[in-house]
Amino acid sequence: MSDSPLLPYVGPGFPIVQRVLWGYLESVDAISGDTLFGPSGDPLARTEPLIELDRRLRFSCVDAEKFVDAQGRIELIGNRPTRAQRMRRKADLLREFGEASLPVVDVYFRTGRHRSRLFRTRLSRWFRLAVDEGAAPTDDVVVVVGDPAGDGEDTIARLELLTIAGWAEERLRNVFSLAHVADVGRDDDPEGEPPITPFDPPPKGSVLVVDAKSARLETIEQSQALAAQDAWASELISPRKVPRQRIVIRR
Amino acid sequence: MTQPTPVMSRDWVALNPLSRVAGLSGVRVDYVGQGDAISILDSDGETVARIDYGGRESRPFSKRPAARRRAEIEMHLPVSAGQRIFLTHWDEDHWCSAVASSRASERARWLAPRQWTSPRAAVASARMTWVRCIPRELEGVALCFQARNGDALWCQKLDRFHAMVSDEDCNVTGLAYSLVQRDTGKVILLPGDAPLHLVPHYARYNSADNPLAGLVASHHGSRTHWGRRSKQFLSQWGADPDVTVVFSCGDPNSLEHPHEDLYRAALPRAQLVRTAEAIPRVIAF
Repeated sequence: MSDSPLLPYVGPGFPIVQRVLWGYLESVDAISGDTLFGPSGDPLARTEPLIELDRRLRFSCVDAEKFVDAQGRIELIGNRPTRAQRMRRKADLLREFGEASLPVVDVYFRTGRHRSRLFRTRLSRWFRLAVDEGAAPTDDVVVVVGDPAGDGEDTIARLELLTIAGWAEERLRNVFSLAHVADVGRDDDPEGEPPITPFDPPPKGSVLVVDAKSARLETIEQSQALAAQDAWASELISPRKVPRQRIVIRR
Repeated sequence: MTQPTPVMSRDWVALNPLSRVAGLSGVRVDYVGQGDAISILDSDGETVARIDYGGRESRPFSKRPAARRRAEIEMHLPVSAGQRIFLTHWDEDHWCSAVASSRASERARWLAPRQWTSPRAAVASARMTWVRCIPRELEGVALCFQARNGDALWCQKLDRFHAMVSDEDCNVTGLAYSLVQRDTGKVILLPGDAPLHLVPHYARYNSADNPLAGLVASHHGSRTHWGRRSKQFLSQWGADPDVTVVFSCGDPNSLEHPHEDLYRAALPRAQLVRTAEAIPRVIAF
């Protein structure tokens, strides 16, 4: 195992590890207090070496080998699946992963102290996690692995956090998506979803009012408050203006 | 102005949790450790819909065996057949009590935002017998479910789902909610993990017309995304002593939740309570 538990791609010298996971970054949080909770919800005493650490990355993972084995049996589908495709995808997910272990990996580290060279982690991105379970943690990174749905205990591990191959991320995003979930009002369409905009886009300031008998679009009289709403809405349209958490780990 | 919208009428009416409800009385915030589980209450105090169904950290329920965990969840967070559960977003602490074979998974009707999802969230959603997403053309549009007396549950997806953008902070692209009592104009804010100032339909509320009955603090009282505009928005009710702020968080929890000081600065006269202090916590009109 390399000296640094967090590294970018290390090339052909990649060490032998017990387990390779592909992980989706669920959250980046500041941690505090005397008690931490591991992936399965069990308390984790905040003793050495956790005392000094102040950030947690949480990854929801799938075993890479398991996914590679299963992917040939899972149909990849596009952005506008038919009802039959959605049904097949739902069945595929439950058959292949409904009973499978879906590990969660927590990575604790200290802001500003890390030695890893520029390594950016953004929410909802996928990574390759090479996990050596049972290995002693270093003084600046602690890794805890668990399976919230399983019966096992959380375990301490060492980890190499790596970039993921493009082909793998593409398939992971396709499979672990909400493609099997229909939009409201679209589930009975046997030919697939209607065009993205089946009717004119609602005008600004409009609301969909649903009562006991009807659902109708109404445009509320423009007020100062709604003008402010429009300003906020237009700001939201641009994804670049949406605040995001980003952690940069430097080596 | 009214436009005909035949494409969505039937299904939206079927999804309306308030179509047979005379009126609303408020919300109950259940203690589920670190996470959210909120009940919408009718005028008799009965649950007519739920917003989120989370809870794992801080040991709200036994971890194992699975059957015991499921039984405890269903005792504390009962779900009737066809009950609506409206999800704010796909972070685990907002849905994880919908365990395998639970009534929540098998009997409820879920409304959820279309977002990027983790493996465990995708599998959990596949276990849900009935789940739907907000259509693309209604992302950003405020949805208003009306009870018979005009009391309303508002819902709004905050941002579009960008299938070509691989990074997404689901806290700010999910669904945010509010309740409004028609006769008094009183409002209860339920932003999920979204910052208050990023919920477009909240801009229509003001202290003159809409007394603030209370809110469930954004993101369990986290400092994340809190800023000047959040404080500015809440401060308009700063003189009101009848506001209740509920922090739905575990005690203890791993994170720096809650930051009561942020809310105390904006609402100096409000009552601040934590779900862990006593259960249940009710915000009433």
